[in-house]
Amino acid sequence: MSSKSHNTNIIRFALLVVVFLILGAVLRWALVPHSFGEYGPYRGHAVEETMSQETIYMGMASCKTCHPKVIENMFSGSHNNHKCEACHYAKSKHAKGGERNPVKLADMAVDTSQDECRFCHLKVPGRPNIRQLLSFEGHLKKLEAEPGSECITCHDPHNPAM
Amino acid sequence: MKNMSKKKKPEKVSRRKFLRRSAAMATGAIMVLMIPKSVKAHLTTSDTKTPGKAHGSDYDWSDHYWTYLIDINKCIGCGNCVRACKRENGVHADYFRTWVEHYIVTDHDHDEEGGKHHEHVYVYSPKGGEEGFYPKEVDGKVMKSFFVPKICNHCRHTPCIQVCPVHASFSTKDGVVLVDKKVCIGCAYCVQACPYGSRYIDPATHTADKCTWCYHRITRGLLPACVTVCPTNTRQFGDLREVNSKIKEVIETQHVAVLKQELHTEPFCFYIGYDHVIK
Repeated sequence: MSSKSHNTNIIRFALLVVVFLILGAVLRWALVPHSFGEYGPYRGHAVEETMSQETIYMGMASCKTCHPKVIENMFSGSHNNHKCEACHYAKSKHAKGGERNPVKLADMAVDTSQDECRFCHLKVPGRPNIRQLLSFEGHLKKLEAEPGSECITCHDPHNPAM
Repeated sequence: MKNMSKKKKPEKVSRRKFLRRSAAMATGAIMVLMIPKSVKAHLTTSDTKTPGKAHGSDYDWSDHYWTYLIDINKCIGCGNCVRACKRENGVHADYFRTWVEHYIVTDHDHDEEGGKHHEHVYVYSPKGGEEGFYPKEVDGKVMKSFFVPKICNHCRHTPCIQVCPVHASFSTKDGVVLVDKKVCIGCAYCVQACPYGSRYIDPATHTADKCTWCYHRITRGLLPACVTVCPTNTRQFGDLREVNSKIKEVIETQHVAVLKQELHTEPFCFYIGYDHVIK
């Protein structure tokens, strides 16, 4: 009789353990993201989600498909290391279709004011003198031009040397 | 006699049972001990698994280990990188994933705690350099001045991942530290833990945000947006696992430094032209 009740206790305890194991498994399934641990101790799908972000900057090779002459002109001058999308903003909204069937979607936004040129050409202490550095006010005064004149009235932004 | 045999019999069986049960228990214990190993095997990356395969990407992250190189001597502080990063990643107006600092060191004598200093270091970064730099009034004669682009260093032993309580910060197999915005609870422990100030809480999503080295671009064979627009090749990006890797050669053969090396975070963002005043 006593051994029988002893066995029942073991069975009860075993059942309790099984119930806890099942409960644990269900809770884990419900609470832990399913791709957790796929590649490491984090949600695996997070990597793919980051990878699927839209690309905005397309690079110069992509600009060259339609504008080879502009780029050729740029490469022949002092702006030869410039990147189109630095001044013309990002390309992705401008055209689509690639080399075979390019379709223009919208104009490129470009700031033609002095501000765009000041980013590189304003004389600031510490700016390496690897390009033309100047005080814009002084330069325009010397030329007797209006203070707010656009640099591109005289300089070709793609090949600015005069 | 009968009683004796009755008493003896169960004892004999119980010994056999005991041995049998001990064997069963030992087997069970071994199996239980083996579970953590199998879980561990599940958690560590297997060589064949690579993300993006399901979406038609032929990118294999075990073939790459990305690294970043910044040449301070070349930086002109134009801010193209800052503007490009903001547009590419839709970074909130008042926050920066990358920024440029202007250092001006003058000979201006000044008293500070701990005595007289014969060097004054000005560091400023108006809007992260997004709207360009203008001449700044400083005391004393300018001894040296330079621009330092800053970015997440994508450290191998990074404190930001260690402190994350929900496994939202993680390091990919190709060496990029990313944030899982769906899991992040915005506690900002990582923002405090980062010694480089590379992280911030995005006010739109209330989660941690940081530079991803444009992970969506590099996994498609493009360069990060900041590198794409740099006019002086100050910013360079490369793959240490590539055959004849240019960046690997530079790091192995030239004088390069990392920021805050004393913290042993093992950054993968290297600097040429480092100066001791750079923090």
